[in-house]
Amino acid sequence: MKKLFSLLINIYKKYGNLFQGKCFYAFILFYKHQREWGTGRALKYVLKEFPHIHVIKGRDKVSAIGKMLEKVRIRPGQSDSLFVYPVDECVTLKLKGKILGNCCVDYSKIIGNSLEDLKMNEGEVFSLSNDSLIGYIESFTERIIASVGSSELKNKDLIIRNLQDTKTKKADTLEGALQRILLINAIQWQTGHILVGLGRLDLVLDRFSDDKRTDEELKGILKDFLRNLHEYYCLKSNALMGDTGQIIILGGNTEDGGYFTNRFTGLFLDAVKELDLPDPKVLIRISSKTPDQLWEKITDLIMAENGSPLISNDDVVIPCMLEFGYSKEEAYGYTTSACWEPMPGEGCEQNNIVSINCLEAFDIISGSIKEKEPDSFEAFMDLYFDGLEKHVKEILDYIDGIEWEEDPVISLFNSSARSRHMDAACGGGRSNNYGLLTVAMGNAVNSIMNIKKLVYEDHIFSLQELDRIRRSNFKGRADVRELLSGMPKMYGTDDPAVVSMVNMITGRIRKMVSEYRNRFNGRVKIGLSSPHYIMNSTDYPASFDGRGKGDPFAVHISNDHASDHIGLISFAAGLDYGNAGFNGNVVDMLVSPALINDTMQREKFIYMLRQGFKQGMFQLQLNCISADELRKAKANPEDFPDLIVRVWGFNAYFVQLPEEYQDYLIERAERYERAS
Amino acid sequence: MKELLDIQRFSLHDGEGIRTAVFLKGCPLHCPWCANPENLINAPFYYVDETRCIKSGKECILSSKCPGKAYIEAEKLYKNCQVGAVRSFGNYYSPEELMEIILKDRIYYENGGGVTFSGGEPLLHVDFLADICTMLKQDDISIGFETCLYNQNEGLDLIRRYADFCFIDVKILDRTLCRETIGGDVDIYLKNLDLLKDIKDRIVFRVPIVPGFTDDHDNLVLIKKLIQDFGPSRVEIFGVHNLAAKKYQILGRPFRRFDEPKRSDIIKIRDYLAEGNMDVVII
Repeated sequence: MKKLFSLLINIYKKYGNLFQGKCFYAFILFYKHQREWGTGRALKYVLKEFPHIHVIKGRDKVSAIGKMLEKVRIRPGQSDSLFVYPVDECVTLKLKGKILGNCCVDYSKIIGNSLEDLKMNEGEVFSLSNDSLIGYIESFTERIIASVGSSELKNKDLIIRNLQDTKTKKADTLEGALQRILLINAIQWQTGHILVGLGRLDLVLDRFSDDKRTDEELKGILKDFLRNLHEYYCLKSNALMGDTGQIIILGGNTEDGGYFTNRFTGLFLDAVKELDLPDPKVLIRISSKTPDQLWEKITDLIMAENGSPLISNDDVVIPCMLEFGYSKEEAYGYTTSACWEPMPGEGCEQNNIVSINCLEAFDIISGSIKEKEPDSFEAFMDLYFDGLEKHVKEILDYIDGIEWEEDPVISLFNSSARSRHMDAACGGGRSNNYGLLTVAMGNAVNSIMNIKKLVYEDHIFSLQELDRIRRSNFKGRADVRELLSGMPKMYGTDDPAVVSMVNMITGRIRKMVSEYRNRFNGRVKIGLSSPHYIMNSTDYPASFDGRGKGDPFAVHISNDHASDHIGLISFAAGLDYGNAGFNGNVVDMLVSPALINDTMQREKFIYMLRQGFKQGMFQLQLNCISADELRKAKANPEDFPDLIVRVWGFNAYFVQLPEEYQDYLIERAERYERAS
Repeated sequence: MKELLDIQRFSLHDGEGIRTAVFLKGCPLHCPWCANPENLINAPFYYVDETRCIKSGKECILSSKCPGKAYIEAEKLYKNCQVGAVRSFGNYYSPEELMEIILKDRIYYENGGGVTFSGGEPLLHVDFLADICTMLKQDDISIGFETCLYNQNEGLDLIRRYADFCFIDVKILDRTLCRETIGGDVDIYLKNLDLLKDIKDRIVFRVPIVPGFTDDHDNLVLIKKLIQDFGPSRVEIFGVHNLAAKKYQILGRPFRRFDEPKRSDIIKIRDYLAEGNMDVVII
């Protein structure tokens, strides 16, 4: 069953547009819900909903959206909520190309303007399309108002007033602003977007900082808002449960040399902590200017152990973005894709398209090694880079062939697209670069270190012999696999030789892509973290670090084989993220709960993180969990329904993860504890 | 000049802030509850970590020279094990080499952190410490010591001159019991302590609570009197643990398992020692 799902999902990803239809979408809904409910309940649900499933197409994209919005069933949510969140997961759009994903719209546009204000009234194709879309959104809003009006919602008068105002006035209350975000957010999900981000919500809501109500009252409103966003968790979860892309970005350096934070920064941190839901999640932009008071709230959220926050270091990220060529406005206004790739302010760049597999080169050059043994380590490295270049070229060819789906919804909120009268998916954005990720860098570096030691220094094996054993997945040579696995794991340590090896590899990759320009004249950015460490490793051949065929790749920037946190941070701080190397570089740290369960130790640990950022660490995510607890949760999931962990770059309920992800997290925690 | 050292980065228990703990070898005492038995003798000790060892049958696949078992005679040992199965407790470092390692983490010392010299007994290595402490002071890095204070030498000058703080162990204060149990001379200890009285604001007493050894009433009375007479800046007490069992096994030494004291008993002792408005904390 699992293999069938995997096959069908892969077919859908590649060729989904060829046979999208009611039955196929019903299967997608079934697949998504069975992850939470199991097959029986999911099947029953889909059969019940089948008559309401619609996959809409139209003569053009905007008219299809209009038709689709007419079909959406409006179902008021919680009776005491201040908001309505109109998503109908049975209705979707037929897509022709690849939809923009992993980005967020600038919600300040719908808060500081009415829908009427966003009309262009200019009479040419783009503005006609824009105005037509707004017309459909207005009609949709009318339908929601009517539905709320006939409901029993306790706050229906407030909701109706806020929706009415959306059409003709800018938002003048916090609830009004949040309702507009929910409306536009719902339309993004409804129009087939994936991994829909939430943007810099503290900044977006800044104009309401003077609200006279108490912090507790405002926090209650934010919690209500977040609970609404948590709805449709299954539908929103992409490859894995929890992989929704719903990231709230908070804080951040400002162009004038200051640091932005307001009342809502802390309130969102507190609200996410108290709700204890895996989603939406928080990314906090910190820097040397982050106030101590805000660090205290960040610390509290870390201690809540619900996976948030991911911490991003503006002192490193912004200079890299400026060096790359983004304007100050774009760099200082950055948000991120799901999960962490910096996105220029108001941008919709596709940062998370595909991963470069750093092990692929070994397989590409395997034939050459068989023909002729490289006579020195330098000769071997030259060969490795030849293989890597071939792999990178294949990836560039692939991304060149991607056809993007026209996107009037994203364009509506994109200043550049509006001023240039060009769809955001067709190069209308201010910047239109692509982002690539790398996977298995840790495996590749440890492999290279093993080859250097065992082949070229100690002469225990020839490379041909070692490669033959590796390709056979160590068949009959468990001892060699044990040897390779047992060699010191250098990736993630601050050994200068390792840091320079990684910088050499990433430098070569960046050089390989430096001349590339996409059809919008955009360039390519590279990052060292990828969510594909299990997905891409399935059936992938064994590697020289002792990893067996099909075993997961190393996770992001990590080293589970050592408990030396400072060594790992110093390693990450020593890496070169310049020259287009800033497309997400996350240290994935495992921390023993025993290490930070004492107040004084916790303070020291947080101080270590702060100093690590000062030293140059790019980004960080943490899992504070014991292997024992994870093992118990796997064995008795009914006892641990709320156990939240951090995987890839998002938070998830541990018990809802596929078994291979559970096992890998347990294995990593065990390795870390052995090393501690 | 090189000394045999163990170095622990990111130490959270050896003083203020984040510290690099440097363990020097050799100790004049033999406390039955010692948690660092690998530091008792100032000599290299190599051993084979069987969990890392890669064998085909009974033979090491990497070298026929490998004995494949614990091996103490260093000069005969196959040390160049690729998988690091031949391990040692500590390595030799010159003051300059140690300084290079310490400086790697300099950014983490800014909040009061620094270096703590522990052991074994660090004050057995006065010349080495004088060199490294001079360098540390030049770089304005905080220096701490952890000493039993049972040896007679010029180490006290080191403390007076360089220490930002000094942990002094307070164990068994009855003359006979002390000599018989841990091999220490209480008179030397008290004399040394007296010589440090003028810097008592930099002195922290550390009292291990070891059931049956340090927690009896008579000893606690003596400890309390010493605290009140000396007036250290703070007193830290802690319960003995059994975490060193594996190290004893590797060293081939008999391990004596202790009952870990109850939290409620430690609190009672803390309250007793704190009488008279002394600053006593449980760590």
